[in-house]
Amino acid sequence: MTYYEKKPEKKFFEKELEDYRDSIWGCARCNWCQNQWGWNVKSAEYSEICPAFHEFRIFPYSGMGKMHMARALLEGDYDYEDAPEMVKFLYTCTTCGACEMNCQRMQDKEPLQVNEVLRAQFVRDGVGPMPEHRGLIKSVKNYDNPWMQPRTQRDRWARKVDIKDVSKAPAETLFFVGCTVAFDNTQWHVAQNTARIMKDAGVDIGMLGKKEICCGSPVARIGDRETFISLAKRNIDLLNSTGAKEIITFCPGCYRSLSMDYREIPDVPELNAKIYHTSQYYEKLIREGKIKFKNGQKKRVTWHDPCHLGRHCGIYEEPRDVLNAIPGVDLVEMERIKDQGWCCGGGGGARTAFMDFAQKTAVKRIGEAKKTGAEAIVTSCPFCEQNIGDALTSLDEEMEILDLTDLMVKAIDK
Amino acid sequence: MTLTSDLENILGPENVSSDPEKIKKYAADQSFVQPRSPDIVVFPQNVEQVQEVVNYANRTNTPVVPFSSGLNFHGAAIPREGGILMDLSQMNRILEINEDNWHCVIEPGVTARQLQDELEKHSLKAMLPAGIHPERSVMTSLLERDPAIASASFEFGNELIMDTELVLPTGELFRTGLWSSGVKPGSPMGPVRAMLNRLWTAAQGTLGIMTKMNIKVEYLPRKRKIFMIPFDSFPEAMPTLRAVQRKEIGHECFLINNFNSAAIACRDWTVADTFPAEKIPSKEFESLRTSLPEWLLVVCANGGPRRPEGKIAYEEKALQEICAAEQLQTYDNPLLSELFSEETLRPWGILKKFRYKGSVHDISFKTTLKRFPDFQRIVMELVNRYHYPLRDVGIFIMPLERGRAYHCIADFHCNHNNLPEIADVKNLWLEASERLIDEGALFDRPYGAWADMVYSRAGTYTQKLKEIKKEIDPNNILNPGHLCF
Repeated sequence: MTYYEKKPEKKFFEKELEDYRDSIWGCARCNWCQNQWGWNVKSAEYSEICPAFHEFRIFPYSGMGKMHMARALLEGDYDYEDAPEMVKFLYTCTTCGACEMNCQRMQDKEPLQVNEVLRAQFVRDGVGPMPEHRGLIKSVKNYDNPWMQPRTQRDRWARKVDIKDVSKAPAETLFFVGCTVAFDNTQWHVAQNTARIMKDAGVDIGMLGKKEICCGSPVARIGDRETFISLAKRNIDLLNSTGAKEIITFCPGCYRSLSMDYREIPDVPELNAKIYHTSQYYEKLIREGKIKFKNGQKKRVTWHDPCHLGRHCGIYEEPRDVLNAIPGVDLVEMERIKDQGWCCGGGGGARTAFMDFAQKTAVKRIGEAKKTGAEAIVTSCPFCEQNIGDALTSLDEEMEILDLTDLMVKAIDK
Repeated sequence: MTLTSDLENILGPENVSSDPEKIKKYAADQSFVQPRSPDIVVFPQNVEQVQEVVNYANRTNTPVVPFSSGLNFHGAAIPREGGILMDLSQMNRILEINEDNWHCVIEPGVTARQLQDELEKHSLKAMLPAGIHPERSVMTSLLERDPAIASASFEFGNELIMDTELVLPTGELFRTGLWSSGVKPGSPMGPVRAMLNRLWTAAQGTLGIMTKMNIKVEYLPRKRKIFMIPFDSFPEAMPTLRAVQRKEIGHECFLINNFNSAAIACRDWTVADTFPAEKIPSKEFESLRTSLPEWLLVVCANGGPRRPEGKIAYEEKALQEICAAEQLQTYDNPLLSELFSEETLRPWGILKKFRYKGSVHDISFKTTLKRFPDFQRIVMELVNRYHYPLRDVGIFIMPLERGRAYHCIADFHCNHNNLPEIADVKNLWLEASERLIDEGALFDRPYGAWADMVYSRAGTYTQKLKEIKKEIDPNNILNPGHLCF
């Protein structure tokens, strides 16, 4: 069997640190987990790629540092008590995956996977996660959402929206709304826009309403595998029971869980439905002529690639195609885009535990966006919208943060 | 007891030869180094036999010259004081290929072709230097600091040697790196964190006989794409060469003149087995070197096991931006592109240049890019003075570690049967070497006449080196007469 023919022997959620021994030892300290590759560097200011290393400036915060931390733990060179700072090193990571993108491309190693396996080990051994994460996990366990909100509030966004509840009437396409959009009333517009666009395009769409539960992404990223696997199993049963042929999700965390992570759990059935991110679905509907934009709107915008949508799931072009299809919208790109994009700072539990750091990371992104001359940053992720939105507010910036659907709905309205 | 019978007792009669016909081939190579035959040739089969021969040589004060493949071209293995020539070509096993950590353990007789063929079965690639002969020992090539053709890439340009096992001139077995602590080889860092390996590089077998080496290899690119940018002169190519390195484009990158690119493309020629090579007149070569661009900047973007297309696309885009900024067009020649692509994997096509006149005498040195115009001026001045045709100078320039330095090879060709031509080229080669060293070109491989030029300019260093040699090799038995020993 050659180097290229090797198949992963285990699924990700059963892997332990030992399974990454070669990868961990193979870290060449080349530093490309911290930097953009030369061919992509446009300026020194935006030449870095790891938000945590950029902020804290010592190696344990980078992908490389995690590899060495993992090695020391693996070989017993030191134990948790020897370096209590390890938990902070581990959880400042936004799990943006930039380190893994560059490392896989150049050295064929997996620093983010190692980081996530380390987190799982920390949680299992009671060393992690950060105290701020414990409430989140408790909330997911008690309320099936990370926002400590009662289940009955989950469908409040849909009170004035014409959308089926699949527990009452079946639908071909199921909208998996996601906890953040469902409970954060500042983000209801995204769910409402989505339902509206789908309805206009003639899609037979429904939702789970109060029955929807967390996809498990927040707990998976924090390292609580047990809770994640339990949620995944419940979700698979629930989603398969609806009979929906397609599932669309807006939140990249949900999208990654449903399309990728559930498959990485051993001994669970597959989801029957085909999974789409909303941007993929919109692009398909535009191509099929089912979405027609009537109104031009002169707006210069820049697209912020959500890490869990872009680098994790490879969706870069569809949202850009949607933006380019809207009359009058002028898409201008930032320096760091697509698989070399800069994280907003809000992912992987970093915003929950290290708000200052998350905000500083978003401020950096806003600076990069302003350099393009754009009036608005457009994205398609509830956490990016929250984090960049908060930073814009604190900066008192005129620049807006918009969801992709905000521009779409304006262009569809008669 | 005689030398022959003593050595036959150690190695067995089948591994010893004093047949004048057989030992003649060890007396000379195609370089300007004075030929001299060894007294006897031995073929050890394992490290114990190497140790026994070295111990014997110490007892009898007999010179021992390690020899691996004889394809050095610079006289490094010519036994200047006779003695025992130790041909290590039969110790040619690849002992380990580690797919996960990209390294392998080889013996001195492992050749470039043998290693690459074997590594390809594991989807790996050897880091071979440009112009290595397919039958040349990989270990010797690495020891002689031939820079790998992927040296432009920062991470692969240096320190390809990890752990080593060698027999010291005293006969002791010595291991460096992790090997020294008795565990499996795998890291150049042993219990003593010093890159001791370097003492034996470019030492031409004067300080020990390397018997095993653990070397870095890399993954076989899943995809490769060659880009060529033509230039009319070397100074025109400099800004682009610098920009390409600054942007870190290409795993392999080199600048080649039309003599060398025509030699690679010439279908009338094959790589010779023996040197000096048989001269083959070729109309195709003449036509090619007229029609091909004066200079070609060759950049090979490759993609590894994961996401190869994305990486190549990034590099292509960055290269296009450089070309657009400097108003350059890429050169499209599918045949040449394929040959250069092959050259990045099996970099011996350029050796077809030996077919032009039979012998090639190169000046290879390292320098920074901005010094090249000075060196070019010196070479042109001398070429004119010696009436050597400028169009017959083959040039190959390769950036090291993203342009931190550049490795340059300038070739002068001569017909080995034409004594006046040999004399002219020798004088040109000697004077050019001397002048380039004076101007600050780095000659880090002190072969033949270069040794005197280099060591005579570094008194204290040379003195210290002699002291080290005396400490390691008190009887001066290993390859005496070479370097400053």
